[in-house]
Amino acid sequence: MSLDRREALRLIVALSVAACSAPPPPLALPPRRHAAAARQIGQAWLKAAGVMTDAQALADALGAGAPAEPAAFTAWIRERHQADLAAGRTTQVDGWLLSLTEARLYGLYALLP
Amino acid sequence: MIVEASAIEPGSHLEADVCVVGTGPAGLAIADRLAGGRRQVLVLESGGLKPDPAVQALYAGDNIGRGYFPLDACRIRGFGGSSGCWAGLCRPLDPEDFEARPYVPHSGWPIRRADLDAWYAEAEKFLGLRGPGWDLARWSTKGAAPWTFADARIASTFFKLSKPVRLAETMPGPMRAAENIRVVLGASLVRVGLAPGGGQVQALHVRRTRGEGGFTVAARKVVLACGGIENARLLLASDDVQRGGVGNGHDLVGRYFMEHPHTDGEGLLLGSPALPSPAFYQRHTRLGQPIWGSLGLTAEARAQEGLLAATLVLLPRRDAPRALEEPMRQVMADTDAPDRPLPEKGVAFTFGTPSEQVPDPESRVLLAGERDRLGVPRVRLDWRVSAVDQRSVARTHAILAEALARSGFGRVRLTLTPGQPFPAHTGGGRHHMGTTRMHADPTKGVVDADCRVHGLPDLYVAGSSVFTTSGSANPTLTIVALARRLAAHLDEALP
Repeated sequence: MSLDRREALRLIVALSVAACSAPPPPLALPPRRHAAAARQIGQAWLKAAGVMTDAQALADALGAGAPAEPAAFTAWIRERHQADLAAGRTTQVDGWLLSLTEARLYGLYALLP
Repeated sequence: MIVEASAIEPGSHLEADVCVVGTGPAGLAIADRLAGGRRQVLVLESGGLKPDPAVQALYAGDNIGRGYFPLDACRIRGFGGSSGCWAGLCRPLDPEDFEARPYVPHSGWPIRRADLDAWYAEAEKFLGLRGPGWDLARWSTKGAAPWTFADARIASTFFKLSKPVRLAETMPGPMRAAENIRVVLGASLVRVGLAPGGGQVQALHVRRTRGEGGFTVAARKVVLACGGIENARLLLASDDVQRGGVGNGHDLVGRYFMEHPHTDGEGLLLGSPALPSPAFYQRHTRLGQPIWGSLGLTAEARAQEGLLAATLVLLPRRDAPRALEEPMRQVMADTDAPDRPLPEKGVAFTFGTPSEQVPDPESRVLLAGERDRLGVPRVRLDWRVSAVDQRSVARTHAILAEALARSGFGRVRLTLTPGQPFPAHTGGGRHHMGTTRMHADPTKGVVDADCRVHGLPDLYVAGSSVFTTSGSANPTLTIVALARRLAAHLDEALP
């Protein structure tokens, strides 16, 4: 997943707090093409699933140890996404099957200002 | 030769080495294999060479179970049988379809797939198919290759597409030319007459389909090849000697009726920019043979979750885009192919999913009180589907959705839910199976491994009514393979 700099920073900060780690170094991520789409799906998931609406709690659920380096962060997300699918950790939004990782990520997009 | 029943003197008695009743794919595959041989073969066909509504009306009956096609509109009574409405999709059953599976009650054929391999090859020729067997690698090309999944649970396979062969067009010539074959058109079997004591067939009672009168037939070997509903109907209706009907000492005839529930149009695959070409899964020609790729679960994946067989084909989507479809396409592209441009237009398919059913003794063909104009009780079909049938399809869709997402190929919108019934529009494929099922134990099946009715040395059944389980492959290729095998058996069994 590609994120723009500001959005990625928000996510990394949230994830880093969850991990009680040091603030991330400056990021140099490619522009995210479809942040609005992620928010839209995130909103639908949060509403339908009735899951946590606290960004920090969602970040905790997403997992600790997010790397600060943008490409590594994208790879970290993708790795968790694929591990979820392999283990059957999935959810649905209007019938669309998503890994829990991507659903939580989109949920964070919806929650972060 | 081919003659009309009107040319046969009423009250006469015909004799033959082998009498085949029915000229669908099963009956004609047997007659064709015996053509030119040393056996005198009599073939009876209720209809004629052309469709006839008055003859077709003899198939009318009642549906008292799950909604189904009108029973006179899902099979053809005439020369060539239901090859006349056949879509031409051919694929053998999988090896595991023949095995006893602990999670599928009543499963386990008395034969194995290897017992049919040679006969499948003959069946392919009979149905006009070409090319080297079923090794997937031989049918793959660079431009039309099966997808490689990052999930070992998914397997690709394919159908070979017959033209399709219309036997009413291709087989009159060979039948006329064969000196040892006599086809009688307009000759309707109305009763299988057993000898006193019920230990063997004494005579087949045949009526002219049009007009009055009829004749009897005595043959050393008799084969019923009238289709998965009609085979059971005729055995049940022939109850003058054996109570409950011929071959029905254990109340099995007509039970275990199976279809392939078709949940067409369920699920929606939205392809990511990383989705490989779907050409293999679209109808195309390879090695001079039209084929059509499909998806499914491996035998191991099915066994692990206790799932029945299901074949998934990709179909063009017909409904309007969903509310979240475009944002889903965008975030998916960011995940699966962040370095590729987002295509202007999405690629979307829905699934066609013919699937296996658990053999259920309560899903059955029965006789109605009303009789047709030839005096045969009309048929009543009580088709049932089970929770396991439904769960298997829903779970198969979900596993494929996981595999597609994991492989970066796309996302799937699931429309079936385990635990929920099939949608009302889920119908069958005009595949009538299981009503004279094959089993080595007479208390569990109507015919034995040679398709011979248990307890009767001279009566056989051909067609998909002998299927013990259905798999998810279309049945015609297996029907013909079993028929060719039966023809060879008959030739060897006769002195």
